Amino acid sequence: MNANDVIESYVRDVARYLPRGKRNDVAFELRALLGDELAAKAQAAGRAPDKAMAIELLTGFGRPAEAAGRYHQRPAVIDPTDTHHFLIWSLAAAVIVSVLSRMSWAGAMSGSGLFLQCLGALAVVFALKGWWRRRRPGALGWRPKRGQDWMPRGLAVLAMTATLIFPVFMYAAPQTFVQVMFMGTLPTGGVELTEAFSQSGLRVATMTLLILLAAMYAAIVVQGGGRPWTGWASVVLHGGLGLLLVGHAAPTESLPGREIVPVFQSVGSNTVATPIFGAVGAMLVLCALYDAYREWWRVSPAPALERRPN
Amino acid sequence: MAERDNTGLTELRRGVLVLAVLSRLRTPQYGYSLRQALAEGGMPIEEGTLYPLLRRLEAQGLLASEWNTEHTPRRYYRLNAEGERTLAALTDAWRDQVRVMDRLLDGRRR
Repeated sequence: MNANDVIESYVRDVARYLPRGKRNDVAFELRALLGDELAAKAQAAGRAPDKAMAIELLTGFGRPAEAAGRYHQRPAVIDPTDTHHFLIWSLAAAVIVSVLSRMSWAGAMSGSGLFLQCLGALAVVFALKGWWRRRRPGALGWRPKRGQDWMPRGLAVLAMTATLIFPVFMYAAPQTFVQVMFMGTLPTGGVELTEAFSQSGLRVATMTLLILLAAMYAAIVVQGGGRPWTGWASVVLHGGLGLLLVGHAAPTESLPGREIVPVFQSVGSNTVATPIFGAVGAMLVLCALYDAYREWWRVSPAPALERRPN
Repeated sequence: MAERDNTGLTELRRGVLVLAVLSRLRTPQYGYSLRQALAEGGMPIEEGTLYPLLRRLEAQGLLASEWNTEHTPRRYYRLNAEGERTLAALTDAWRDQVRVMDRLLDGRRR
């Protein structure tokens, strides 16, 4: 292989990275330019150009992909500025898939296959987002957001009431709950709890966390908004509740000496409720992880600004 | 420290690269001859930077080019009318910047 062969090889490799319409034109010019550069280099060295000299020249030009990138810059599939969010979403997908694939009712799912599908879907979404921003500069722009402690009193009251009425009441007395909510139009036998579940630690722990959650909303009402401690309390309570609900859906059958504790006496109710417990539990765990991430990365520029009345 | 100085200098030179290249293309030049002309004028530019820049300036409508295949095939670039206008505008802008920077730097010495 002589110097010209080396240059030909380089030019071919650069051209392969270029759009079809530009390839021949750029390759022709690049070959001529490299020939001039090599001739000048040989003249300066006082000897005929050889393979080593050509390789030294081309090393200065960079890898063919880099050289081609200077002639024609292709956009990244995922914008570099989106890398951070892409990784966060990928991690979230990994957590969801990991939880789902451990559910007894989802035993047929392939965790790794589902995760790859999620990654592919995320890549497509982020690629489309980047493409749209390049096509319509200014689209998907930044908008001001409220701080993470934002929770007006009204919303906190609503959250507290909803927590007390729905999960706490439903959990404490499911039959009465159905009777009251549906004004006696639905039979209540389907939601009758088993004796084992009624007296289980799982139920007591779930009830306790639900009441604590309502108490946290009450504290937000009193304080007039969230505080860093309520942020962390929310992480612990929602995370704990999520795990307990996942525990409802994936009973401790895999642990030696432990048996499945069905929630309802009715087999049909258990069949319907189990995936719901699992999905809600997984969602709560995911929300708790997201909140934990937000608390971990909480931005508190120092010194803190004094709150001024509007 | 020396590395930081080099980075600053590289950034500074990058900003005036287009103006330097346009200033040498009132007469037709091919890639290597232009690089030589710039180096002789005190503005050495890496070949990997200069040649793609010529294509970009042509794509932006500032340069015209034609192949000369009488001897060694070479592509010659020169300013077109739009390139002449851009060169004049950039030259004025550069002189303004020099005046501004001179004022700022002189003020720092006082």
